[in-house]
Amino acid sequence: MEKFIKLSSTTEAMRAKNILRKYGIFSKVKKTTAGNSTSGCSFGIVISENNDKAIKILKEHGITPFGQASGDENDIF
Amino acid sequence: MKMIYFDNGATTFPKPMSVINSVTNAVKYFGANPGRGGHKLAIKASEMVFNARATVADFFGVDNPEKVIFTLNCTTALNTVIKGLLKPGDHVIISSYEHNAVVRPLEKLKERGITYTVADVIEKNNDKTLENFRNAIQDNTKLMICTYASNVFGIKLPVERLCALCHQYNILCCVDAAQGAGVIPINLSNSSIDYLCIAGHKGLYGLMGVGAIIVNCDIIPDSLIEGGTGSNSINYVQPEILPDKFESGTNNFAGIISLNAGIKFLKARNIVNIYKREIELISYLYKKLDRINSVVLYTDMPDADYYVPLLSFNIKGRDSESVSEILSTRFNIATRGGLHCAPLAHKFHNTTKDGAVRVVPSVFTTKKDIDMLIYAVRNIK
Repeated sequence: MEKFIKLSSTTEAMRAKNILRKYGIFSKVKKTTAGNSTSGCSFGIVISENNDKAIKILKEHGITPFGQASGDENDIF
Repeated sequence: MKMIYFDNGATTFPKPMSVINSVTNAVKYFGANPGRGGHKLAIKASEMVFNARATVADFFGVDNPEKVIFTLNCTTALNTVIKGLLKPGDHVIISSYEHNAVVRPLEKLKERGITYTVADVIEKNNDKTLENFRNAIQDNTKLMICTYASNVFGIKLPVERLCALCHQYNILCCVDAAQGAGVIPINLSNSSIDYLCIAGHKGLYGLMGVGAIIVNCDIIPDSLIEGGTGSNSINYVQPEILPDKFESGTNNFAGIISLNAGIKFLKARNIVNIYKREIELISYLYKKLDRINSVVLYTDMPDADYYVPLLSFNIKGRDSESVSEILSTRFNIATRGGLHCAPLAHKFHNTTKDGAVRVVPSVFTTKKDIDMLIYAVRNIK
């Protein structure tokens, strides 16, 4: 199932995508469709596998996700 | 008559074809606003900006592209660092070769109780230069700013030694690399430079209207301007994250893309080889001009250890602007006369009255171009 990982900026999302690619995890940068009432415009990445591993890798590279959501992101917060 | 262009210190011209093509493609096919919308074209534009950021980071030896902050030019980059760090009561040390991009912000900050001292740079004597900077340090010195190389006389400063000295006294270091970036290899991974400010359109061969601050320490200045960043937009307060904190408003997309292409062009040709060749051309010019009685030269013969490829000269009894005008109108040779926005440097060399004619080669300059300039100078009566 696809997971959305919310990040602080488009730059961070691009960086996260590149870092994960080096570990063989492919992702797509996407703008959030949920949570605008709490944070406004924000970006993240969508991955389809290895969600926990991806989060761990990102944290090791100093990237702390704001939250995760499944499917259409409606349960992001 | 073909124009010969030596005003590369102001901006490089022509730009490489790869740079021109990158801009055309970017504007023609990918011209959405990066970092704002979520549609495919906006995401693609964001990716292109990120790739440019990553290219700049890699070129200057920085591990995280978020430490690369795009600005409108090097002046904006310097203003951001200077005004974002300094508080009333702080003291700054600058070199005797600083551009008005450094001097004027500091003059403005005098109104807020910020003071500065000018430390003299001694040509080809780095120990003496270091001593002058050490003598300028005060208890309240917060920041040292120096140019990588004089934009008027081409003299390189012992930047790493100066920054290492300042760190011994907990003084932050900001380097104006407008004339150094793309000309000299600069690697921040083992450097004491805290903030490197660059122009994208000179030695890096991008378009005008793009520059950057590369942050190489943990102390982040206050923002110079605030506004929309495309991130955390429900919040009225400026985000603290990099690069968003400093990139309010839409960036110069085409300029950023051109910078990426310019750096790739340099990497393909090897910056060290370009530097070596340009120094050879300038040394050749120096030797020839030195034999013309009417010519005044202001430095020793340039070599790779102490100079960037740049030469300033004048003709005895003439104003530099008039010499530059003759070169342009009679010989179709573009040089830069006057004070080069660096009156401090001219004051230091006693050249304020007449200024100097500046010659800066680029990767496209040939020995024949230099010979044409020599011929022209010989024929100016």
